[in-house]
Amino acid sequence: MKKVVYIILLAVMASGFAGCKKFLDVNKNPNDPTDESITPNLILSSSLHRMGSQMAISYAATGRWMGYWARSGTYGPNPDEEAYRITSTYESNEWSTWFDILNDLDVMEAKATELGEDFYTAAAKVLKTVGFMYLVDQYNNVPYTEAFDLNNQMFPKYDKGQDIYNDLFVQLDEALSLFQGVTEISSENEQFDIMFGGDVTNWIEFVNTQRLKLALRLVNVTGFDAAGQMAKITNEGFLKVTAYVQPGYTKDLNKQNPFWNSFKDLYDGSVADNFNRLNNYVKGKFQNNGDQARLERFFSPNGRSGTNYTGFNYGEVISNAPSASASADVAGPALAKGPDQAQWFFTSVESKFLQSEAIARGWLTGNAELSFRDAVTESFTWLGLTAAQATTYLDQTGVDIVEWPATAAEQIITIGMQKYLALTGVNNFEAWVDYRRIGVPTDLPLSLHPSRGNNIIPLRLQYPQSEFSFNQNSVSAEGTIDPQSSRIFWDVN
Amino acid sequence: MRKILLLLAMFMGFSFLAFSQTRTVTGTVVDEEANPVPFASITVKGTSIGVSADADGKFTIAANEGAVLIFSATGFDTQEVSVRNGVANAVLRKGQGELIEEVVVTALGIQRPPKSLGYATTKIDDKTLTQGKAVNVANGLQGKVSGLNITTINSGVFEEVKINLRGIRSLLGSNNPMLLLDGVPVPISYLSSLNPNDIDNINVLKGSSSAAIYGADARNGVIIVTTKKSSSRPVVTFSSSAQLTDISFYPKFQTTFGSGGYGDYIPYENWQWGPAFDGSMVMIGDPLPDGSTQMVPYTPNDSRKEFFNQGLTLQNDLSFATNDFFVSLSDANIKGIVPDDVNRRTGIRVNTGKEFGRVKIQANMNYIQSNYDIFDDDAMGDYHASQNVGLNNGLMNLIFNTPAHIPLTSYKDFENNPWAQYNNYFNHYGLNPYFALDNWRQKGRKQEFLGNLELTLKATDWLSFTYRAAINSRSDVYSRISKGETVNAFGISRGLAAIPAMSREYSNSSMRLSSEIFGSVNKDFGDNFKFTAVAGNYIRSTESRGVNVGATNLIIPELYNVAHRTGELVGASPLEQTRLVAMYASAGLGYKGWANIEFTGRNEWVSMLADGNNSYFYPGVSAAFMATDAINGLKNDLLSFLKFRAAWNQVGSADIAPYQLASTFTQPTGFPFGSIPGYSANNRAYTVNLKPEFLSSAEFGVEAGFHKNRINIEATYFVQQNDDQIIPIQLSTSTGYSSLYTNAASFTNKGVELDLRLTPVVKFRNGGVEFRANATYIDNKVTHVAENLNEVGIGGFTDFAMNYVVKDMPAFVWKAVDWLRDDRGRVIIDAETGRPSPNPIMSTYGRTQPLWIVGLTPSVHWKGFNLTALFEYRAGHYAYHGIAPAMAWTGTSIYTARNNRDAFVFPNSVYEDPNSPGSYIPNTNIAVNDVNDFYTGEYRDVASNFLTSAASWRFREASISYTIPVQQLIGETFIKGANFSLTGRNLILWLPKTNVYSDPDFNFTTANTGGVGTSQINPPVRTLGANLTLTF
Repeated sequence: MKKVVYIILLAVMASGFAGCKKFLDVNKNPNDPTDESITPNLILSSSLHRMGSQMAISYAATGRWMGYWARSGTYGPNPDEEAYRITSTYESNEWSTWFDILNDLDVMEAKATELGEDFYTAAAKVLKTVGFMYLVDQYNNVPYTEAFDLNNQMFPKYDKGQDIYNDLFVQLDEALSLFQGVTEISSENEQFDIMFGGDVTNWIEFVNTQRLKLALRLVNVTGFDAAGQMAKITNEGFLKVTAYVQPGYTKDLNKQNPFWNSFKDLYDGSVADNFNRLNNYVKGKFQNNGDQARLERFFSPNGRSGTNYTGFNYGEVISNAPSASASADVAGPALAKGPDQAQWFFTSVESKFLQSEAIARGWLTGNAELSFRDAVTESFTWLGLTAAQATTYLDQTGVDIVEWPATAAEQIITIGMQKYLALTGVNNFEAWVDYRRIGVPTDLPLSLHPSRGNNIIPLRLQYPQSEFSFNQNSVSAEGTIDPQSSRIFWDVN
Repeated sequence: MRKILLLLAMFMGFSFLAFSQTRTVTGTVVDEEANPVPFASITVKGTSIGVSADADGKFTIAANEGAVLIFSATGFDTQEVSVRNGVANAVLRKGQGELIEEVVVTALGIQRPPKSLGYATTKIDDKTLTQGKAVNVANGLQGKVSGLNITTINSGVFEEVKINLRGIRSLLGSNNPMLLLDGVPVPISYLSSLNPNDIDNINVLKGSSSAAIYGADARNGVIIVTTKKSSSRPVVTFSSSAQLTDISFYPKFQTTFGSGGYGDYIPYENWQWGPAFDGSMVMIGDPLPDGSTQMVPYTPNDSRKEFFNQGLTLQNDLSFATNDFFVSLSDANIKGIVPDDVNRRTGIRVNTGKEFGRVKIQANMNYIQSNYDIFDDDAMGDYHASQNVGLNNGLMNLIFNTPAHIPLTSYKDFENNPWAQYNNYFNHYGLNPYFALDNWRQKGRKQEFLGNLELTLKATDWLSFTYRAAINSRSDVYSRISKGETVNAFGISRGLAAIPAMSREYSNSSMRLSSEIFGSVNKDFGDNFKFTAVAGNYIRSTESRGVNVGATNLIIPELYNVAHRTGELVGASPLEQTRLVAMYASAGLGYKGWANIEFTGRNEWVSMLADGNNSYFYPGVSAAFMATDAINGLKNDLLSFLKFRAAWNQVGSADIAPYQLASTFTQPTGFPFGSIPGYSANNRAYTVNLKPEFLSSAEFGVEAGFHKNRINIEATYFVQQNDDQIIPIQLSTSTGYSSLYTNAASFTNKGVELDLRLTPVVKFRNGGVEFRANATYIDNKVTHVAENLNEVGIGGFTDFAMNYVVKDMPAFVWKAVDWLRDDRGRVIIDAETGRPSPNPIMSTYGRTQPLWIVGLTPSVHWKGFNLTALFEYRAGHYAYHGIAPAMAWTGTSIYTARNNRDAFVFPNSVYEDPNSPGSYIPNTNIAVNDVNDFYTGEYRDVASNFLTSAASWRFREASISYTIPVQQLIGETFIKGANFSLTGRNLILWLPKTNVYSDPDFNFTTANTGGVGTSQINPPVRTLGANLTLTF
């Protein structure tokens, strides 16, 4: 009898505990997926969109420094930006956004490696080289080897920009060899590749072009083995057409093409941007050199109709400056075609100018002048103009910026200047890189802001406030950073 | 040593007394209305034999036939009754009595005489609670209880409050005390919707020790609210009050300069960097297309302050109480100071009970509905963000940053007044606030239902079982709309864009179900030992579910249904579920009523932690010693009573939201695009190894009464060690995440609570003067943060100024961006521009929680008049004023007009010696090159400019009430009583000179981050009201 009682008691207690365990088992997240539910393809689509968006819209301030754009009379001055006074809060989301995107790519790479999905591993590697390029070009030394390893590194140390670049080339080598081994992408997965639709050849072209871009950053770095890198360019060659991302942009909240949404119209049809307007510097470069056609493709006329293109001098503080609606907006008809247009990610124009500079430097074989003319022509056709218009423009006499000079050094400046014009508003970041790298445009005016003093266009960004707050030892190891004098490693002069 | 010897002697005395010739005497103690008087003290005259009556006034005592028993109880006069036939019943008359004999409701709703409690409690009766006619119970408690810190964080129609007892125990978890309503735990927010007139009394159990039996929820103390349930005769009470609210404090504006920039006049600017006011007629805004212009005198006016309404709160209550039955209706109609903001709260309560022999059934129900219509400041913020003018966020920004010569109040009629219309409003950069108030609205209905059922079975006279089931159901159904506005060609030329018509419908509901069963033993062993024990089980399940859908572009004007839209529906459907199971027990032993000790233990199992970490046990012990009862002769005319108490306990707590053990992914903005999904890792990392937070707490207290309890003093010292705090450690985003949610920091709290009551200070014919005071001193120190980490930012609105946890500093401290200084603390300026620059490495400033809180309550009563005041003081902490940088940007703040905006040499500044870098030369002549750029630039980035002392003295409450002698005036009528009172709340706010901005208590959140004011927070208000209460 006693035994029976014990057994019943035990049974009751056991079922009680089992029931308790089941009762408490309600902690599976019903709102968001966790790591085990995520596959690499889901990250590829979002990363391509985010990178395309970031590169197209987050360098408006850079565009203003670089003489493309300026502040309209509708807004008051921003002394920090316009006096080149760069603090730890200035554009601090450059740091966080790129690291956020790169973390996704890192997760994608790890998952793809685990699953043996080489296509995604390779895509992650090449896309990471883009992200880290942007970080190094703005901050020089940043976390790299200790990044994205939270379990072991809560306070990632910074790697030298030079070392990071060296490894980016290695990553490109690995991406290339992985892509070369990929034979087929399932049709189901093609839709997640919103850039190339799963076309491996395009991806290899992208790897080659990215390698060329990284290499040209290092032209002034002693000991850089350009030939070694050029030897790794494969037969697929460089990007021949523009790489666009197109997830299915449409006229709706948060779903519009990023460039359109930021600089043209909001989803409800109202004006998206009353801040950025035509800069008188670039306006002069077009109008004074027989290039009105491209000006009218890059910018919209005042009030979006008519023939007047009112611009501003950067940093100038005057009362009663023309309002936004009485000046030329920066989303011209060739850049802002509609809310559903695809977003350029790597333009054919940039690809051609990179090739042209490499030929002029003797890194690649070919005729430098022909490649230069080819690149300028690509700019015209990319903007919806004709090759004939390009020829007319290039054949002008007495116009410095189209005249093909004799020396390689001068040729590089001319190529750089035309690259600068061709990428107006398209790739503002590249202009800042080239300004620091090869010194074009050579006659870029500085801000007219009264507080500028003797400041020059910043050489880099200050590390963000979050690093000083949450990773203080690592950032302090970099010593005092002054964006007026601290240079990116490839900016040797 | 002598005390211990004495104690031993008393125990020996017990064995001797047990052999005396006595019989068992029984009896009941009632008041004049035949209601039982619980826990009255009964002693046999001439002996040391004494017992306490039980909760029903019944007692048994060993005494000889014919012996005289002395009955005493709180609030009653002492009475002597002789034993006849083994029975002695007493009817006690209301009088002074001994305060210490008061009954308090403790854990599980069990009533206990305070002298047996080993921890600090404070009881607030209904009269004290409602003296200031606060609409809200939480406000009614402000300043009345030591250790209790209640801050009002905004002056909107919801009167949001933040409540802490004895500081904080969790850096980021809840520090809200537990709220027990009629024995049932309910969310603390309920305190803001309870009708103060329904309440019989509130008992505050301060430490975690006081309610170890309730577990984690009670580690922050317990506020036990007992509602009115019964009256021995039928009583109808009607109460009506009207209260007016007006703004008591505005930020200080400069009134020297008008709109413009760099000294030039600009008619459409909200920048006030124009020329000095000169009284001439100037144009404001742009000429309209028809050529008309708006001319005003270039002179400052007061219209920014006149923008606000006078608020009005009307409250009516009707209740009926009889034996075991109470029903009440209440209606509060609140019109806010922000034009058009209204909230109407209507509630009904039914409390009823019935006894069937050994079984007692009690059922309580409360239903509250709030209908509100308020300005949707967040939606306006979203709009401004989309227009790249995020600085204009917040209604106060629109109002306060208007230049002083603008006739702001003339723009009320934004439909017909051309100068007030959207397209024509003078300012290119800010909206007409009247238009904004109309365009973005949030309208909704909150409903709360609370029901609980309690069954009590008295198995024997020493054993009873109680079962309680409770449901707390809340729903909030609301819509947020933007009416939308079109833009015309003129508007476009002024840089305006259309405002989309949008609507989003929300339906949120939450349900908390709880079931509790416990047995309690209350047994006397012999005449001297009393054994009490409780064992029980508690199960709780919560679920909250929300559904919301929205349309971002509505088609038909003034039709706000999401069906009529272009584009996709937006929406979400969040769900959260948690469960908790607990087993608990306590055992206590009392000796002769003057020595008591109690042990408690509890084990909890929670759903929010992983298997292996989700079960935890914690013990506690408390003891009380009533010296005046224990030691013969100690009690005399001077010393009325003396009590010592001590308690120690631990509490484990997993007070976290569910699903915090694994990192998640989300579809980034825009995704899915049609058939293409995309995912991105969220920014917070989680770990599956999360453990509960643990708290060890000890307290010692002494309570004493002097001069027949005319002077009462209570003091408590407490110390709390808090470990394994669950916090998100902020990370470098290069880790891939911006924070990691994990067990980290430890900190210690130490403090003293003091209560003083002088009742009365002075006594005179038909009246007297009373005085109560309480003071709380709480200091804390962070002892550990995490490995390789000495500080963690826990949030607070901006990157420039944040609440921080820093090792060896109090939790929390401010860290803020300061000027770059040399090693001697002098500000380093640029030798060319004369201007300083911000130091990106933030400096540490003072704490965010007050070190001292003092409440003083003098009162005078004479005949039917009663005059009460309450003053409150808080100090030792700092506040950040989020509106201030915006006021610097626009040049509105008084500071921006310093020195008449002439160039100045930055005080105590230096510049680097060009010949010897690293050494600095004092600056005596290099002036700031541009004052306008200085204030709109680096001055705004240096958050330490906007940190001020958060000290305050407030005249919190004043009331004068008069009990109308109805019977004397109009004879016997159906009206039994009448009381009229005039009340004032928050009458005066005294702030340090540096705080020119706002009430330092105002905060952007009710969470732990403190001292952050924003431009969405209204200015502080004062309330004046009148109240009439009639009883029938």
